[in-house]
Order: sequence, then C-alpha cells, then structure tokens
Amino acid sequence: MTYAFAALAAALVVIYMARPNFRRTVLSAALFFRDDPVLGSASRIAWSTPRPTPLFFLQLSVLLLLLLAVPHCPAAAVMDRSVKTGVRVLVDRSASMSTQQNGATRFDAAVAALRSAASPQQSAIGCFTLSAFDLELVTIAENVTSAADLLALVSRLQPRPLGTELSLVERALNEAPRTAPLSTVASAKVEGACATGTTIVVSDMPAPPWMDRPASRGDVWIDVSQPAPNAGLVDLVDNRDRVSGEVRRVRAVVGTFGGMATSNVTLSVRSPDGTSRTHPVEAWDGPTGSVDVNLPQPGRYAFQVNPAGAYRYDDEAAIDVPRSGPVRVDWRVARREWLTRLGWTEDRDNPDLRVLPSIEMLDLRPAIVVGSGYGPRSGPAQPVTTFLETSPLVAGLNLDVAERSGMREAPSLPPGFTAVLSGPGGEVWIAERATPVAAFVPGLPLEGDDNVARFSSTVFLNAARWILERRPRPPLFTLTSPEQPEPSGNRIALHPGEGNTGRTPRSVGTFDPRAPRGRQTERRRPLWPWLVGAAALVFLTERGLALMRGAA
Amino acid sequence: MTRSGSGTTPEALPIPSSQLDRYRLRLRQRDRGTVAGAHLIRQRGQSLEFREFRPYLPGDDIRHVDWRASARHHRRGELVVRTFEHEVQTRVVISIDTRATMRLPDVASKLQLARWFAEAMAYIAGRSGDSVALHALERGQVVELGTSADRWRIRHALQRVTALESTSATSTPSNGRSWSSLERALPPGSVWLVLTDLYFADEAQVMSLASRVRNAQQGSRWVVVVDFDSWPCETHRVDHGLYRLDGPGVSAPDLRVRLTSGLLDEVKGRIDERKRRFDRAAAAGGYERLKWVWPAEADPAPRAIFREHFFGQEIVRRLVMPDGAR
Repeated sequence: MTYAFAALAAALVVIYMARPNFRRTVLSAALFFRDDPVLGSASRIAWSTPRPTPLFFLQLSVLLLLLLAVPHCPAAAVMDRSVKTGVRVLVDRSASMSTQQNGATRFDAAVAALRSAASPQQSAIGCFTLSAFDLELVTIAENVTSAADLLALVSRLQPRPLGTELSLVERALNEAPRTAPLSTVASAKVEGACATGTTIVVSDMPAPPWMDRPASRGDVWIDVSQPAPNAGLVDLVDNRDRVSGEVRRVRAVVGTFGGMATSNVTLSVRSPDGTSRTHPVEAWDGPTGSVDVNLPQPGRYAFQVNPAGAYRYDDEAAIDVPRSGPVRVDWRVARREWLTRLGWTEDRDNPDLRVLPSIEMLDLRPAIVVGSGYGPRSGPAQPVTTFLETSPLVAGLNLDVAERSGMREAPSLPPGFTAVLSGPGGEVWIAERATPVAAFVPGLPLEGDDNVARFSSTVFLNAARWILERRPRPPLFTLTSPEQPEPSGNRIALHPGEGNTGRTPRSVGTFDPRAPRGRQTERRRPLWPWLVGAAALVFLTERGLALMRGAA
Repeated sequence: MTRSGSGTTPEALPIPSSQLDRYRLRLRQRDRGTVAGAHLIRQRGQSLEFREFRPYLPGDDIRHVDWRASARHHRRGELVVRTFEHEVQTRVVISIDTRATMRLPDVASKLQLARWFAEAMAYIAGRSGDSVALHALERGQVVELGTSADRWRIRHALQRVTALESTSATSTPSNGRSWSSLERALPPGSVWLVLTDLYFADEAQVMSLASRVRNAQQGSRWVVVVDFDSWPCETHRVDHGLYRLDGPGVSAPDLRVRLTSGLLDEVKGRIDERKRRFDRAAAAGGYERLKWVWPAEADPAPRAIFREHFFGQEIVRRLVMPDGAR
C-alpha cells in the first residue's frame, strides 16, 4: 500500500508535468499574433516542471499525508501482504530442557511447538534467525528462509547441562527492533539481512512478567513445560571453620517437584574411602528437605538422590573436600610463643598471614602490623572520637578500656587504611585496609587477665580472623559453564531452578507475523488517524476550490 | 477551417416587423439637389411630393409661385414658391463577409450580427420600395431580393449567402469573376454596404478590397463599410499568461504565446493600423466606415449589441431614419 500511494503521487506529478502549460483559446484575430515569438515546443504535451497551481499542491498533499499514514496504520500493515516479516526464534537449550515429560524431552516438545507455530505462517515470513540460550545467548543461524530449514537446525541442537539466564532473553527482546518501533512493516524494512519483526521464545520456563509489558506486545513466549515428578539435589552448603578453612560438614538440600512424594527420598553418600551410606532426607520444609553429612576426611564425596526423577542432572553430585592444615604465619615480631598457643606454624615463603612490627615492612600480602604496644595509664581518660562500628576489628571490644588505657598513636599509615578507632586528637589507634587486606593493631596480646589484656587479645584475634577469613579457599564443587558444559568430577550441573519440574506453565502471545509489534508505550497516541484526518481535510478543501473554480 | 458557430442555424432577427416598419431609408432625402448624393438617385416618373415653401429666387419657375401663400407672407412684395421632391428608387447591395473570422466569437458571432443587420436593412429597403441584393463577399454569390419586404424570403436568401462555410479564413474576398457579378448588381448610384471585420491575412487582401471600394465610389456609388470589432470582448475573456492560440489563419502546430497587456496593445495597434490603411486606400468621396464594437464583457448578449448599434448609433443616422422624420 505504501508503494501504491507513492506511485499515485508520482503519477500525479507526471500528470501535471504532461499537462499542457498553455491554455487554449480561440481568437478571431489570432492571425495577427503570427508574427509574435512562438514559445515552447510544438508538441501538444509539454513536459516541464509541474504547474504550480494550488490544486496540484493540495492533491499532492493528500497523497503524501496518506503515504505518511500508511506505515503507521495497523490495518494497512495487516493488509499489506507483500511485506514479509523476519522472525527471530530463541530456543532454550538449558539442562532443564532435557526433562522427560510424556515420553519425550521438553526440547522435543519445543521443536513440535515451533513446527506448529511457524509452518502455517511460512508465506508471511521472510526469514528466520535462530538463537539458543542457556547461560549464554548464541546465534545459531541467520537468514533461514524456510520453516523446514529452521526446524532442521533446531532439531540438531541438544540441551546442555547449564542453567538458564533469562536476563539474556529480556535484553535480546529489548534490543531487537528498537530503531523502528511503530509497526511490523517499518520494523521489517530495516536494512540488513533479516530484520526482526517478531520474536518467538521457546522455553520450559514460564513467561516472565516483563513479557506482559507493552514493549513486548507481538512477541511470543511458548512454555513447553508440563509438571513432571522429580526429586534431586538443590544445593550443597558447606560448613567450614572460618579461620582454618577446614570443612567438617556439608548440608545437602534436596527438593521434590511435580508431585514427587517426599517420604521415600534418600541420599546416598559415598566417601573417599569407598564406603557408602544412605541417609533419609529429613527436615522437610515444603518441597525441600536436607541432610547434614559429616566429612571426616578429605577427598571426593559422591551424592546420589533416590528415587531419580524426570530431570537427571540433579540426581548426582560430587564434592572435593580439601585437605586442611594449620595456619601458616610469617611471624616477624617478638613473643613467638603465640605461634604455639594459636596452633599456627611458621612459614615465611607461603604464609597465610604475616605479623609485622613495622609499617615499612608491609607489602601486598595479608598482614597485621603491630604497634608499639599499650602504654601505662596516665592522666585523664582519652575519649574515643572515631568508632567504625561495622568493622569486624572492634567486635566485642570494651571501648572504656581503650579510653582509660594508654593507647598509642599509630605511625603514619599508607593510603588505603581506614581508621577504625581514633583518639581525641584524631590520632589513629586501630586501622584496616580492605585491599590488599591488612590491619593495624596497637600491640600483641598482653599477658594477664585484666581488661587491657583481654582488649589486646580481642583486637589481635579479630584482626587475624578477619584476614584469614578473607583468604581464598578452594570450593567443594564447581558448576558447569558454557566453556566447560559437561559435568566431570566435582564440576556438577547443580544450577539453581533447573530441577524444578513442577512449575505452572505460562505462555504469552499468539504468533502472527503480520500483527503490529508494540514497542512504544501505551500512553503514546497513534499518529495515523491524525494524518488520515488531515488528508481528508485537505481533500475537502481541494474539492471545494475545484468546485468554485469550475463554477467561475 | 471550420469554426464553432458556423454550423448553427442562424437565429432570426430579434426585432419585430412592427418596429422596423417605423423606419425607411434615409437615402431618399438626397434628391433635393442641395446635398451631396443627388447623383445617387434617378428620376422615377411624374410623381412629385410637396416638400416646403421658400422665397422666390430668380430663375424659379413662375408656375411654382403660390400666390395665396405670398399674400399671407409677412414680407410684403416677396413671392413664395412651392418646392417639390422626387420619389426615387435606391439600389442597395449588402455584401457579407462569411470568412471564419466572422464566425467568432462563439458567444456573439460577428456573422450573426451581420445577418441581422442585413435582414433589417433589406426589410426596411424593401418596404421603402428600394431594390436589394445580397452578396457573399468571399465567393461572389449575388442573391437578388428585388423590392421584397418578405422577411421569410430575406432570411432564406441570407441563409443561402452565408450558410456555405468558408474553407479559408484568409482567402481573398471575391475573385475577378465574382467582382464582375457584383459590379453588374451594383449599378451607378447604388448603395453598397460591406459587412466585414477587415481581418484579412495580408496587406494584398486589404488593398484588393479597398481598390474595389474605391472603384465603386467612382461609379457614383455610396459605400458604407460596417466594421464588426469584437476585440474588446474576445480579449476580455482571456487572462494574461501562456496560451495556445487557435483561430482562423493559424495553422498547426499551435500558436503559443504569452499574452500580456503589452502584446495585446501591440496587436490591437497592428489591426487599427491596417484598418487605417484600408480607409486611406478606399476613400474617394463616397466612403464611410461604421464601427460596431462588442462590449468588453465575457458573455455579451448579441441582441443587446445589435439594438445598441442599429438603433442608437451611426447606422440610424447615416442609413435609416424613422418614418416621417425630416
């Protein structure tokens, strides 16, 4: 229809060009004009610039207004069968798409859903773009010209033991044809190989709320899932010593979905020494229960949930419990007996913590810088003026002691340190540095059982715990990733939500490639009625003028 | 070249006979011997009509002295004589230009008004007992009406003279053979009325007609050329701008001009100059040119034009007069 109006406008211009520029008149004295200059060509049709008459401009205005209105008009977009839209297909190939339902996988259901959606509309679809998503969104093929080719490509895909990142889909929908938001026609005419007019998402996840926004109107979300009974591991939560990092226990969280009974669910644990033990899953809280499993020795522990459900990647898991040892310390201060008291070992080459007597010895490694110690009490109390309450270094401290004991000012600290506790004159007593991690404390723990000794011990141990907790610790397991999608060893596919086979399906939209696609906010009023109205007004004016001229 | 209006049935003269009956040819006064034109009449017989008394002059026939009137005359001793006028018959030949230029403008063609003029003149002359002949100026055809005042016959004759369409707008009016037939129909002392617009294609045609008019005067004929001038009406109907001019004398391809007031004035001056040259070439003592001018209106009424000129302008004064007027 756009082309039709454009052709009409062009024809109008040609008509006014071809129309003779000379009005005809008959004069009985015409022969007396023979000696005057003859203008123009001898042809009856004078090709020239259009005659600039008001009627010409009015007629041209009508056509141009209609020409402008057509791309904005939904009816015209639907009627314009000559315009084919591009369809982008996003297929979920996450681990949950391997869930068995009705004798087939959900991925098989996705292929069938695509076939029923795209094949009947083949005539209106110019091309397909196929993408697959799980933890990443990958374009599989562009410019797929037929639904059969599309289905063949989809069939060659397989679910991967990866999680589902729906934010990737949301971003893809928002980025699709934002440049031409008003209609399918306009969107489909974006220059390029295969301009996207409509997006079809096929997944086993229910349509997210953002699919209901006006911006997604016209897009389709097909949820192929159906509830299927499943029981499997949901999470493995370790229990570590905060300072030493020793793993003593792990809590296995097991979930049941899709009507799976909880009474018979058990967890078998195979220890590094080859022994197996089956634990009944207890402590059910709704669909999830848990089992605390002691880990008496380092090594690999294998977990298996019984009975196995419709989804297989949550049935088994393995963890590697690291071998733990004493804290390695580079002790550069006096009072080395504290190493023995704390159970730490001296290791200057690869320490977990350095204890330094001087700020000048500080480098990028985790360290506690010890000040010159606590002085004798003298004079009135020194009020605390700065107190960083959120710092773990002051946890459990009796600040009255700090005000009454002889706190000494820290030396000049390098950039990055934050005062945790400071005196009335702004002198820093205790400080911390987040990165690289380091702390300044007034002194080593004092002997005795008085308040100052307890204060000094608390500050030092707070600093040591804070630093040691922040050192990297090897994970018990890792999750599969797009780079390493296959489970192996303690790399497991325990991605959150993948084993939940009991969700209520929710699809959004019906696939119609000619339907207008909403990318504008609903408050925005359509423009085309105004353009058509203006065209009608100009047309009436033109007819009125033509009538008056004819009468004249 | 066929032009619009040429094929239409001529409208009848929109003047009733009762109104025309009040007129007679003024030419019959010219027998008094005191005015130019006495040569235009001829003795018709013994019929004498009393005209007036005047003082006796030496040489007057003593038999014309009215003694009774002389006795009542206020100047004692002065005789009064009766004067008489002769009843004469005038020959009137009406030549009508039937070229295509006369068939314009469409709204009030010059030929239509020429027909009406000829019909009225022929009727008045016939009623006056004068002999009338119609002449097609271009083809030379002469149709004798005699002294008939039968309007149907006059119209029929007019139709014969004017119905045949001219094939050329620029043809020379009458060839040598047709002139001879006209000369036979135009004896000395007759009146020759030429109804034309004088829109001739070239100077030669103008001079040809002018020489005939001049020759006719040498034969003691009185020639009146009625100039039908529709220029004001026709130029009023066109705006200024680009025009494809069509009309008699314009051959294909079209004549394309930019009409401006300057060009129109220039062409009008060209036409007037040609008419002045015609006047100079034609004048030989018995020639007059009367102008019938179309009003500068887009759609003038032909009847109004006719009434205005026939009863209100030169025609009445020069050719006809109300019956009983002196």
